[in-house]
Amino acid sequence: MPPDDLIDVRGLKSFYRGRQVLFDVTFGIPRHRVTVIMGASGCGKTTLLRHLIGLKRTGPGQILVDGEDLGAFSEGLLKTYRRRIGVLFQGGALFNSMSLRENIAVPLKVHTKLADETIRIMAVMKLNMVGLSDFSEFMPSQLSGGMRKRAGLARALAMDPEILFVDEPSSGLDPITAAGLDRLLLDLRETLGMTVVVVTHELESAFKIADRIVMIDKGKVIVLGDPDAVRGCTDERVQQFLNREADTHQINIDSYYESLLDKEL
Amino acid sequence: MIKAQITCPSPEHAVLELDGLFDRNSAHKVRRDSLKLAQKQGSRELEIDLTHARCIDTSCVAVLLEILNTVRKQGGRLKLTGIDENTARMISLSQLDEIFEDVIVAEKK
Repeated sequence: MPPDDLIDVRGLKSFYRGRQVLFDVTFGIPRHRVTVIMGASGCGKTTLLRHLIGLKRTGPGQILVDGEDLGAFSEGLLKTYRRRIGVLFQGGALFNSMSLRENIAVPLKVHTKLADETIRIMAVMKLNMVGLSDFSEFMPSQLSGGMRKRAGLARALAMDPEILFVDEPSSGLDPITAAGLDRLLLDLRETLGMTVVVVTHELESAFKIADRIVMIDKGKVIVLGDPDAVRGCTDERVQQFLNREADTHQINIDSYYESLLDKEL
Repeated sequence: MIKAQITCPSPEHAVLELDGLFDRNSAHKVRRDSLKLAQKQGSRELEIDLTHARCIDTSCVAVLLEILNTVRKQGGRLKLTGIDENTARMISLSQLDEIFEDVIVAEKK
């Protein structure tokens, strides 16, 4: 493993309901850098993210964190790993019965000995980072989807995690707010030395923030490199994605017929 | 792990020197020692010397803000010395530059 890679994914395969969704996925996530995992909807990005955060155990293949096999972690080690990471899920995943400030305070109350006042200040600071300090006493149900997403990011940042995973941070956000979030991710990398992993299909955002891009198509890595390398890649699928060209939908007529009639030919 | 040492160069001036990692694991100790000293100092000057401390997360900014608030409430003055570039950037990321503007007095590390 190169010395600057914090996480090393090696030959990862993944299956969902008997169907293979990831095929020999191999790439590294460099320490203190922003890695963007990019690809069309349904290409396996979110499944890969679930493996990276230890929510889905690795099947064939490995994910090494600091050289240690995540798939072989005991429950205790997995708990320690989860304390090192912050995760923003697509929907924000907030507790609906708590205010935003209380939501953000939860991990600090559970995992630290910090005084209540320190926790309160930290929670409001994190809300301020995502532009929501005026809404600290609001309940999640009182906010728009985009605001809930930003609040989710504030909660992911509560513990100043060493590794931050964010799933589609810009979806549902207006361009100005989305640009602000991109800036924040870069500031976190610079200021706190965070290792950031962003899963997205937003091209503009990806090229603005990425130090390394991993592009996935139908569960396979089709290009891996810095933004210039990805732009310069001549692979047809990469160029199709970058140029936003519609997929020429090719069907397997036999399986289509089979699914229409719900019987084997 | 962080060590805190108190010195009083003059009756009007107390210094809390921190040595070690100032993070969410040690922030409660720094908070306790600092607030105790701030109460004792009253309207006099409290200096927190961070030359040998390394702030690595935002808990240190939150604690420094609490100390500043306590000192100001008592009519005293807080001085932060030996702040490194990273801590200054964390204060900036938290958009508290203006609040700490008159407090950070020494050259950055």
